[in-house]
Amino acid sequence: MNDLAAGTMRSFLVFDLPVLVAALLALIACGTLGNWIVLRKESMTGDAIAHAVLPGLVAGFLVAGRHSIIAMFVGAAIAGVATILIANWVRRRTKLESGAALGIVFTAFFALGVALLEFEGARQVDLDPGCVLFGALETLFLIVPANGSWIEGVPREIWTLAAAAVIAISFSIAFAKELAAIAFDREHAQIAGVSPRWLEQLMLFVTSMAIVASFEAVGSVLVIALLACPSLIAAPHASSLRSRFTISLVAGCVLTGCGYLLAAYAPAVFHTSTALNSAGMIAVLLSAAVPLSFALRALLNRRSA
Amino acid sequence: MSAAPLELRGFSAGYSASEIRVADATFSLARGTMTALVGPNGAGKSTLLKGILRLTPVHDASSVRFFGEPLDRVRSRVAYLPQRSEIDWTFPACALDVVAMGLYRRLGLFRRVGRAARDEALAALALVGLEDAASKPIGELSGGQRQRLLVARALVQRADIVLLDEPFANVDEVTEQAIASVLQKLRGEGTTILAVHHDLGTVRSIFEDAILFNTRVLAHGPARATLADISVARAYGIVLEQEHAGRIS
Repeated sequence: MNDLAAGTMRSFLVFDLPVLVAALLALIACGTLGNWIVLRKESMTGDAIAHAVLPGLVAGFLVAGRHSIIAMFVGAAIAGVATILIANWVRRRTKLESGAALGIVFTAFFALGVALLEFEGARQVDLDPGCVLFGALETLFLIVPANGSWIEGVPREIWTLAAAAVIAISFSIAFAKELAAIAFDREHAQIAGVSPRWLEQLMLFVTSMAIVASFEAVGSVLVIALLACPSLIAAPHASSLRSRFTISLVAGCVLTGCGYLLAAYAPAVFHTSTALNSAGMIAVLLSAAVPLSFALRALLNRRSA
Repeated sequence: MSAAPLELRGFSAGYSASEIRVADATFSLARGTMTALVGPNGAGKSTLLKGILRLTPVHDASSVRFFGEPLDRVRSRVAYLPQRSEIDWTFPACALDVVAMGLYRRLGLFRRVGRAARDEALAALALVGLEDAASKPIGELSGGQRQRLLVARALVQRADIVLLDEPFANVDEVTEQAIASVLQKLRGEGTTILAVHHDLGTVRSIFEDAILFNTRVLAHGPARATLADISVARAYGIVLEQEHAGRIS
C-alpha cells in the first residue's frame, strides 16, 4: 500500500507537477500584465501580439534549426514590432479605427505563421499547428538524472516562465503609480509628465516577452485567455488596484488548478477514452468564469438592495 | 517683464489640412486671469484646448508658448482637466487614489505615496468639499462629485496655469459654486485659468474674461463686453444654442 502511495506521489511529482507549475507561472506572468492591458481597454493589443508573434516564432525556430529561446524571442519581437508599425500605417492611410487596423494586420500575420508552419513544419518533428494552438504542456515532465539533483531535471520552459512571471510582477510593482495613471487617464498622465514614452514601450516589450515565454508551453488559445480573463473575473468585485490584482491572480490560479485536474483525471473517472487537453480545459474554465463572475456580482447587489 | 503664461501665434489644429478645427488662433493670457472659452457646439473649443496641450495633431507646435517655453519644458507648471465623460469611472480606485495621481510627477519614479502626499491629497479634497468621500470608490461618486474630484487632482499639481474642458457641464449647484470658488481662489494666488464653457448665462458671473470662438478667435476681452455685443457673434455666423440665447440681455 505504501508502495502504491509512493508511486502515485512520484508520478504526480514527475508528470503532473511540472505541467501545473508551468500553467500557474504562465497565468501569473500573463494575468498580471493582462490587468494593465484590460484596465487600459487595450485587450485587442494583447490579442494581436499573441497572434502576430507566430511567424516570428516559426522563423526563429527555422533559422536556429532548433528550440532556441533567443532566436524565437528575437523573431517574435520583430514580428510584434512590425505588426504595430504596419497597423499604424494602415490606420493613417485608411482612417480605420486603431482596433480595426490592428485586427487586419494581426490576422494576416497569424495566417502567415500558420502557412509557414504547414510548409516547413512537415520537416520538423516538434512544430505543428496543434502545438501552436494548445501548446505542449503535456510534454513537460521532470527528468531526474540518476545521480543528480531534481533541479537539473526541471524542463527549460519552466525556468523561462518563472523568469517571465518574476519580471511581470517586478515591473508591475516598480511602475505601479505610473501604470495606474496611464490606465486611468492617459492624456492627463501625458500632460502631467508621469507617463514617459519609454514606459509605454517597456510595457509593450514586457508584455510581448510574457506572451512569447508562455506561447511555447501553453499555446495561443490559453495565452489569450490568460491575458484577459483573470482581470475580467476580478473586475466586478474589486474597488482598488490591489484587490483587482489579488482577486484576479488568486481566482486565476484556482481555476488553472481545477482545469488541469479536470483534464488529467476526468477521463479516468468517467471512463471515457477521450483525452482532454489541459491548456484547452484551463482556457474553457477561465472564459466561463467571466460571465459567472459578473452574474455573481448582480446577485450580490440584489441581495444587499 | 516675464513671458505670458500662455501665448498663441497663428495656431492651427486638426487631423488633416482638409479638416481644420482651429484656424490661425492668436491670443495671450496674462498671469492671474480667468478666461472662459465660449462658442457653439462643434466650434472646436475642445480641439483648441487639446491642440494647445499636444493631445491632437497641430500644424506648427512652435506657435504655442507657455511662459515663453514649449510645453515639454514647463510640464510641471501646467495642469489639465479633461471632460468628465472621457474618464472611465469603473476604474478600481478611491477618490484619494485619483487625487494622488496629481502628485505622481513630484513624487518621481519608484517612490510610493507616503503620509505627506496623502495629507496633501486630503487637503485638496477638503477644498472641494469631498473630505468625507476620500475612501469611496470613484464609481460610487455622483456626477458633480466626480467633477470636483478632477478639480482636486489639478489642485495638488500646484500648476501656474490650469486648462479645463467643460468643468461646469451638467453639475449641481453645490458643485458649480465649489468649483467657481476654488478657481477664483487660485486666480487670486496668481494662477492663470482657461476653461471651455458652454453656459452663456453664467460666463459673466464666474469669469472676468472671455474668448468668443468658432474655429477662429472672434473676440477676446472682458467677459461683459465680449459677450454683450451679440451682433458681433451673429456677424461671424455663430448660431447660439437655443437654450442659452434667451439669457443674453
